[in-house]
Amino acid sequence: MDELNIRDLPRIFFNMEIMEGQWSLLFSGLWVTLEIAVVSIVLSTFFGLLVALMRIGNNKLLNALLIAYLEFCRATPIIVALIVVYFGLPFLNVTFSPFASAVIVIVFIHAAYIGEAFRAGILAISKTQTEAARSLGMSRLQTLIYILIPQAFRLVLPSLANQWTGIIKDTAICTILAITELLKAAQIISTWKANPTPLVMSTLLYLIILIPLTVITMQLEKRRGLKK
Amino acid sequence: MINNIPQSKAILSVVDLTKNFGDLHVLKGISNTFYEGEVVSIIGPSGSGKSTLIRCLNHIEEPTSGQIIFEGVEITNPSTDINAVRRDMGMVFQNFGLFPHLTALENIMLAPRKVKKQSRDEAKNKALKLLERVGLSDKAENYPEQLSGGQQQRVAIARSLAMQPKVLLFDEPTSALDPEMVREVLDVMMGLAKDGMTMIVVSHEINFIRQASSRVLVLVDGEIIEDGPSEQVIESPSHPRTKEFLGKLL
Repeated sequence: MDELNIRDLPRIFFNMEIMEGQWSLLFSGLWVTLEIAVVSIVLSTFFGLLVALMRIGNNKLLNALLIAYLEFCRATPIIVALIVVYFGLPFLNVTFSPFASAVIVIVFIHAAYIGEAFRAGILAISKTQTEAARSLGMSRLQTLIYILIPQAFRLVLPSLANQWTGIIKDTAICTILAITELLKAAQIISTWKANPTPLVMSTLLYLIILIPLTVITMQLEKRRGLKK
Repeated sequence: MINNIPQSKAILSVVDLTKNFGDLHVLKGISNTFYEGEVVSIIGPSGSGKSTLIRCLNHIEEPTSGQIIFEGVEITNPSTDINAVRRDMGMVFQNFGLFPHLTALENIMLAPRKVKKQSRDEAKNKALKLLERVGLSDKAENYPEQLSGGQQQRVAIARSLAMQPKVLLFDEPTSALDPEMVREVLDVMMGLAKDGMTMIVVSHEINFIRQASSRVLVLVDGEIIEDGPSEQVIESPSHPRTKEFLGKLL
């Protein structure tokens, strides 16, 4: 290529001939990405909520540990965490499958952020809510389950959706492992065909998964606006 | 006056109750006994400790020292199951405190279902009757934000009644309401007084005190300075601070 010319753009980045016969590999990658994402989203939301509940419990030692955990997660590039878990832990005789390693790392990191979001949400709820529930004879736990958590969910939904989006994109860290998820599949085809079109196509597929998530969140927010 | 001073049994006793917020002594040794069927109004200038006192009664606020005895159970004792006590002691808040994610009906049904373990149908039937009692049958499926302040407070009263409490505590139930909505809430409260409900009410609604309250406590600077039948306290107060306060109120 002597000179870059805009007329070559479609041939290089949107060359559908390259994709012929390759879609099945790309779609199987998409399926793996979805599997990792769904498992990670469910688990990190659950553990995030748990982290938030422990944080508002006001146990000093526990709080210090959780703050350390949060700072650790903020500072650690997720790919480094993955290398430690997948390539480092086996030296301590702890071995996880590539799939499990990816999920563990994503959940570990994202639960910290989701925990902070939930904590902010729970703290934003008026104190009268807790007082009203407790004065009806509800226990602390019942107040959490029936009053605080449902309201916190509505409050933090927009930031939750952001985190979930981040999780879907972070599934791409699996390219360093022996998992052929969406990005890895695209890389394989791209290297073999010496053309970036598969990478562009994978981006479009990421977009296709993210759009429904955005739409669902917007719907939920609309409902929340009505009900609140 | 609906209630005369009843010759009935004591239901709630407060003995030398104090509450400090840091260096601030909000309650300075309150003692009093509330009787079954009584409607007691607590009045006093702002900052005198009225809300703190009523919030201590069901232990939403933890007293610094002193005893509270409800039906023979010392609720200030840490080993008392406070949740069990609160089932019998309803509370209505200034800012309603309805659960915004639940409909009016669900707000009323929640505690009977989860705390008293009533079946869905039983809780629902009772809740519908209570909504009827507070005049809001047509609002069962509405969410709190779709209701006016007065309607919300009436739902909150119904929600407390659903637990069939032996005492109802009101913490300034009408002071967050627009003037035209005060009446509808007071009407419900007067109805309860007529039905013999034991009520302790922090309120400056002189009409309510005159018509429904049997006794008035005047709280100033964390101390009860006057305690007597409503008519007597309102019409011929003995303490100069009461006179001064009522002068501003009337």
